[in-house]
Amino acid sequence: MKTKWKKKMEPYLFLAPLLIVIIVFLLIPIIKAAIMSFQYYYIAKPSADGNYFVGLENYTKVLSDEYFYNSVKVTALYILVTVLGRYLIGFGTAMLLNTKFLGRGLARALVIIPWAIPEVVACLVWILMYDQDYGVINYLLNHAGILSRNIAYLQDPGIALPAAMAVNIWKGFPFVAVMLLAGMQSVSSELYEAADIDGASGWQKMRYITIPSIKPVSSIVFLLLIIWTIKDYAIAYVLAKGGPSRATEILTIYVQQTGFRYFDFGKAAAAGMLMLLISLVFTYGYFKLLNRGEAVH
Amino acid sequence: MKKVKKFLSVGLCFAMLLGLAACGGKEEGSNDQTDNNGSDEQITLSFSTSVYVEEPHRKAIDGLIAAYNEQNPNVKIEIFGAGYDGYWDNITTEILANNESDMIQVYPENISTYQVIRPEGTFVNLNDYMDASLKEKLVGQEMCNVDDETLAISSYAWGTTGIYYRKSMLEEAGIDPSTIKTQVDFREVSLKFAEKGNYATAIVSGTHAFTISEWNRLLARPVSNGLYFPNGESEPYTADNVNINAAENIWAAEWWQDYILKDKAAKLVTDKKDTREMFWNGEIPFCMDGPWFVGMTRERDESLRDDVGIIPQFDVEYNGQTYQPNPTNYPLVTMISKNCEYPEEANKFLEWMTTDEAQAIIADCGMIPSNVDYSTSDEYIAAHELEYAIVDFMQNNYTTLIADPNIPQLGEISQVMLDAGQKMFSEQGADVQTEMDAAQKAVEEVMNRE
Repeated sequence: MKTKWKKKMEPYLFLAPLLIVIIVFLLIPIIKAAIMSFQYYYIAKPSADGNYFVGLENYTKVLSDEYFYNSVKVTALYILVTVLGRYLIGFGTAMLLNTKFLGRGLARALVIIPWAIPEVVACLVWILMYDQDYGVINYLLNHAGILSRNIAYLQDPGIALPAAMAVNIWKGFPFVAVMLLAGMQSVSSELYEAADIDGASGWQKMRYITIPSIKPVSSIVFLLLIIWTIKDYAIAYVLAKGGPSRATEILTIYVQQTGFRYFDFGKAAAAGMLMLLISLVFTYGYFKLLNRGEAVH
Repeated sequence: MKKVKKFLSVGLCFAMLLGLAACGGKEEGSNDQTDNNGSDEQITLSFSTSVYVEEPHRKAIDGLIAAYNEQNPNVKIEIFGAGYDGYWDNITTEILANNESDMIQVYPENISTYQVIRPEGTFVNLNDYMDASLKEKLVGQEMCNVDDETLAISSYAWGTTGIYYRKSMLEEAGIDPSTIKTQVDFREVSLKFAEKGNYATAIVSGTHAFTISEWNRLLARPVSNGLYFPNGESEPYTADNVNINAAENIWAAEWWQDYILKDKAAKLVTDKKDTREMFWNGEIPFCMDGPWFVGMTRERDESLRDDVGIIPQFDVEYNGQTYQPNPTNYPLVTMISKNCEYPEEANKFLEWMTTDEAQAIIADCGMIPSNVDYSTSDEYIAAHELEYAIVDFMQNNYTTLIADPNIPQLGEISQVMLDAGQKMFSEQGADVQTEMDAAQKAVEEVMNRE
């Protein structure tokens, strides 16, 4: 009896370390933040009543804050452009890497580099490249006759967001390329051979064989990119700290600023909870897709 | 084998739990303020500072600790601190988590912000420790008082700004720096460079606080006597007392915007280091900076030393009146946490920092040591002639210091002004009146918030 009980408990024991980490570092902070979002937590003006319950007041404050809507708009644009950009460049790269050429192994290894570099390091390099006076980008564009005057990429509110998007795309496309390449490699070569016999063009092979075959991988990659971009922080922050004039203030920066700069942790927690909800919608979609994939297999 | 695995997994769980417990905040019991009363018991004091990442400060702070250790071998001082940008978030998190350092170095305007995080107050009232005669000797000490409590000691260093110039560049342009007395003179001189397609200086425009603070110090505060609140940024700190869109501040913002965009006398840069580089490279003749700039210049290129001079910030002429420049003296002050187990020992160390021996070590950090007795001594003047010029400006040229209001909402209201500054003092060239009105309204909302 005792042995049977021990056997039953064994998997739980092995799971325990992971569960403890998840509970302590994920679940408890989320619950704590959820509670904070319903409390008075403006530490710039502490109340004698402590962190009392305020109902939905923090959510009302967030939803009536024009800067929240600005950050939602910036985040939506940031997600749309960078997810599409990463996907398209990643797809093109995967197609190239899936063809046979001399040095393909080296090319496959090199393409990973942007993804492997730590975000902060990559951003610091880009800050130097974006420099108005000494940056290599202005230097090259000027010498190529494309620019007539130097551009202040991270100072101009109209350019700072596209500049941050470019870094995000550069940093993220290798992941897409590697994932799609794996998908493309699993497509049976017989399909392409049959298409060749039928006289299909390169475009037709891509349209009718490659794209449908990698659809499940593409869907998962898309969802992962969206989820990761919602919680992206480092690139926009290190490059421009959310500025200039809040042009790169994505939701994560808005939440961080509201909490740690304005000390309104209640409002920051409410904004964080709204972010979590948006993220959960896509996470739900991700798991749905995963399950569907498992069912098919 | 199975047993070993089980043992390992149970052991791992315990180890993780122990680790997590160690990560947690301090126990309530650790609030006991038990001092070692000069015994030989080994004690450790932690010290947070935002400047340790900068080489001159690291050298000075390491020197201070080594010298203090020699005299007090039982006291170990551990330094903690991120760079300026991340430092403030770290302090907030640590205080909220109840595991902040024993001593925390900040600027005076930050004291209130962190003091109120705990309802009972976060820091020790130093009135119980500090001697009145010592307080009088320390620059910026009066800014450390909140609600009749002395919450920090100005025992390290300070430094206001002056305008550095390249002698050779002014000579070539036929400009005598001693004739630059007012903002009108400065503009005229600047235009001589702008007319030739060059810049006279570089101005920080972006997310850095300098976007507002340099304009505020040079123009706004001298004429308005307060950007956020009138009468020297003084109380009452209420919504109906906000001063941002006062006529004087509007005029100052328009003048600054014209200087940048119409006169094209200043180049916009994202960081102060760009201004410094341009000055050292001979691209601009003027750079507004603090005493630390002397050491930086020396380290950059010793030969530049003879080509650099300094004049005080200019007077401001407005509506037929002349206003003296307003200094900011940036004293780095240190607070002692109420969670510190040895507040007397911490205070002893901080007070030792005001002695001649310690102040001589601090002088190497590039700022001006905080003890006036030392910074006006023959020893200091002989070794730091150019830096001393700034002490002289403070005494003879500048008016009474007006600092940012020492209120917990400072972070938010300064962000409001920074947003406005980014729109007004950049290529956007937004309408000054509109932006200042919007900033006024936004700050009123912050001050009204319950």
